[in-house]
Amino acid sequence: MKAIKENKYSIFLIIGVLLLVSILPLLVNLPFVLHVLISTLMYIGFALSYDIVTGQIGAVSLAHASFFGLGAYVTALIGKAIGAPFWLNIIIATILSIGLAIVMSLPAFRLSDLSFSFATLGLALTVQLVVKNWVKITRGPMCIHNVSNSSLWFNGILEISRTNLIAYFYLFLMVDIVIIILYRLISTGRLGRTLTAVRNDEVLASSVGINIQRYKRLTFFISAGIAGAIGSLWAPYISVVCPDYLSMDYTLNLLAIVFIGGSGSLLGVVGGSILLTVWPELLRVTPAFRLIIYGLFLLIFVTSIPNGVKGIISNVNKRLKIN
Amino acid sequence: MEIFLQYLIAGITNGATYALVALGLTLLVGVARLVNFAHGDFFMLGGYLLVFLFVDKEIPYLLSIVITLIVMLILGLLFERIVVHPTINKTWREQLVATLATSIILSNVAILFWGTTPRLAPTKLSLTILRLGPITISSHRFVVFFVAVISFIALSFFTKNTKIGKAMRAASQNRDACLIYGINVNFVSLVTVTISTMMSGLAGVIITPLYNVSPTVGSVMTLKALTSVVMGGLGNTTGAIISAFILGIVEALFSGYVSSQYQDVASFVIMILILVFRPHGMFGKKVGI
Amino acid sequence: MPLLKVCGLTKKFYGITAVNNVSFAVNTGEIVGLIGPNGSGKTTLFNCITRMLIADQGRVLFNGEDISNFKPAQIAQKGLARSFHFIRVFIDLTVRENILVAAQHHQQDNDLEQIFRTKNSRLLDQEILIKADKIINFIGLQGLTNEKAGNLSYGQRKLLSFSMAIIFHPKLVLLDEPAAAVNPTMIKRIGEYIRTLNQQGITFIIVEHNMEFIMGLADRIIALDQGSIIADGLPRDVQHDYRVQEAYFGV
Ligand SMILES: Nc1ncnc2c1ncn2[C@@H]1O[C@H](COP(=O)(O)OP(=O)(O)O)[C@@H](O)[C@H]1O
Ligand SMILES: [Mg+2]
Repeated sequence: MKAIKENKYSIFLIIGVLLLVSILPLLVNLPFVLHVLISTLMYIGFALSYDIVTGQIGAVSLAHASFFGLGAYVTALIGKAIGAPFWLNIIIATILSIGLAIVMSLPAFRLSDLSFSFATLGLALTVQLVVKNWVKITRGPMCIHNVSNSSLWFNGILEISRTNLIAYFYLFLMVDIVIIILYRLISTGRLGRTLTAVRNDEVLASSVGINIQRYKRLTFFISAGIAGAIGSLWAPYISVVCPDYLSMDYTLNLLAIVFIGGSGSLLGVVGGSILLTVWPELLRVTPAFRLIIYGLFLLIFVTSIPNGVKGIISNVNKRLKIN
Repeated sequence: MEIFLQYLIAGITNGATYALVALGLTLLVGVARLVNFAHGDFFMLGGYLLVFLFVDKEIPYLLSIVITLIVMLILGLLFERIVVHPTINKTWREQLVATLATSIILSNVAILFWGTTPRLAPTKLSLTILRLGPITISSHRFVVFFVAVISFIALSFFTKNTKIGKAMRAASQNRDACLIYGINVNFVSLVTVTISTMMSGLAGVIITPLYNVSPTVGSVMTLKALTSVVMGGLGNTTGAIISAFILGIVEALFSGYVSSQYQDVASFVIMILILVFRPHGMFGKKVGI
Repeated sequence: MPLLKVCGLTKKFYGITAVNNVSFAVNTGEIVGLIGPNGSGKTTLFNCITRMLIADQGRVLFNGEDISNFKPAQIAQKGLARSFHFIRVFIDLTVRENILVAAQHHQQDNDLEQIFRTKNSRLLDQEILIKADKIINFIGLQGLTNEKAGNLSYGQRKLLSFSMAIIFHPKLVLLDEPAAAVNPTMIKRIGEYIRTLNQQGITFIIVEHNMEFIMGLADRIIALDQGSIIADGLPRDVQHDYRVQEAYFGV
């Protein structure tokens, strides 16, 4: 899967579009529309974090949902114990997710390629089993309901009520902008080149002095931290936290977004997130039906359309320029 | 002691199950160098076809098996043409994503058709309990064991004594070897993938009467089969079968003596340890420098 | 003290002994040619020295330091560069980026500085950029600076991988058939360039089948056959050594 060279200005394009989107809630204040927008923003951040490890350095992790789920559970549990402000929840969730990533990396990064993916799959299922069976803390399959609202300060001071969708919208928007900038900083410049080099050819990369393990760990930890933060924001918004937050279905959603949109590309991943989040919400399809469609598209793209939708667009562009 | 024997028998049946599923996968890995993450989903489909034919439509068990195998044959051909063939010369990433996509499609199709509640398909044999002293065994376990042995013998016979089988064996040593046998590489791939798919489906039909079938059983089976294959040495059929039995027995003992909830964790841990301590991971990675 | 000292290196593959108890030393400033028929173990020897393959026996000392247990990346960091027999380039990076990425791991700044583009980090970027463009001009790929390496021809990739091996001012460079499938004019230029770099103090070990090229360039030739050293000496002497003749032509 070849990454596409990013247009220099794509980040301005995306942030510009996001700013345009940011006035949307002021125009259409319908709960349903806002919910679709918030879900899309959530997936943009989540998918970008996934792409740092899967698209940039090319280590296809199948454990990404574990970090999201961990972030969500941690936030739900903190909410039950003490009312911590949302930013503290994010910090704790991020740190714990990185902790989990460090534990996972101990065996997983002794492996490369397919073995790595396979090991992360086993690890993800293990974590999910633990969450499902540790009923005393997680309430297992009964889920944790009524997660406390996000608040700006301790003890529910300046609480953001779940009905205040606009506030959640801007919260996710801000977080997304931070993630986009971070993604951009990581995927370009010297570090970006290093990651592409490792993805392309590990042997050659090590022959020019690149410490492959170190960069794999770096990207894995960063991406896990971001996923934990997203989970931490999502839990109060959606108000229920269940073991299937850690399930493969979430990871497979991300896989579809990244590979259909165009892996390793900011525009591709953001486009993929929008494409794949909006229509199932609009058509209100069942998750099973949605996943079938994703699976079909994934197959079509991976077998016959390299570089995803982003690739198609840049090809069309090229042709238009030549003619 | 009785308890131990009881666990052991459960373990051996588990082992036979994993062996049946792993048999098809090791063929695929050996001949086509393809790690198929959808392999267990064909097992699951086999199970559901049995539920559909035998339980819902009340077709006799043996006839249900035959029909299932025919359906698996068609699915195998389609799978080879649509998924395997277009990705066979691409990187492991494309192959992983393509077979995972297949797994997503199959397991969710099962959810659409049959829902998420596990389904049972008890047969006369599975309900007949034999008593050997203090130990009780469902007679169907013998069927499982018998089919596993027969499949193994049939597969060895096929690969050793037919022209296409020999070409498959040669291809597992060296990709270009098919040319020597004058057999089209495409054809070898088609036959291999189809047999592999049919064996996974067969395993599903044979085993479902003992347990139950649900849409998620596919990915669990894929993991168990892959673990056996990796443990046995890639493409080494005998190794994979022995490993499958070891895995089954360890799991049953763990589940009996330690914790049944974490039974699967035991096998994941085994899998990860094996991956880590097998130098260079799954493929004994040959670096083409 | 020799720059590189190889002691009793042995590597077996399923019964084939690809490298058999090989010992030799290379001094700073030398250009050593490594010759031998196909399958004689030259590439495997390079792989064992750079630890891309783990030798069954033997030690490698580089600059007086035992590097037998180092990782390939560490060995590169120490100043031992190499090119590959089956040419490798980073296909998703452009020609310039390939060279930059080969040079940048010898820069002294950390990941955080890189992520947040500190002033120091940007200065270093400038520095290697100038170096990279210089070498691109030299190998004549300036028209393709921003072309993806995946779109280059075999010969162009070869030149690129040569530049990637020398860009970070290594002490010792192992080149695996740098002249094969390169046009005669370019072969001449590569030869001259190697000599220039050699005068600046870089040591070379070069595997090459092009006898004219290697005999003209090397100060010393080591000949391998079936994994063992069969001759080690001045180019003229080795060329006329009967064992070498036998190995090559089966006389
Ligand atoms: N990865 C490998 N696995 C098995 N055999 C190998 C491997 N690499 C090289 N060989 C064998 O080792 C011997 C030496 O090969 P090589 O070092 O490539 O020779 P040269 O570079 O001199 O042509 C050959 O017989 C070759 O077949
Ligand atoms: Mg060679």
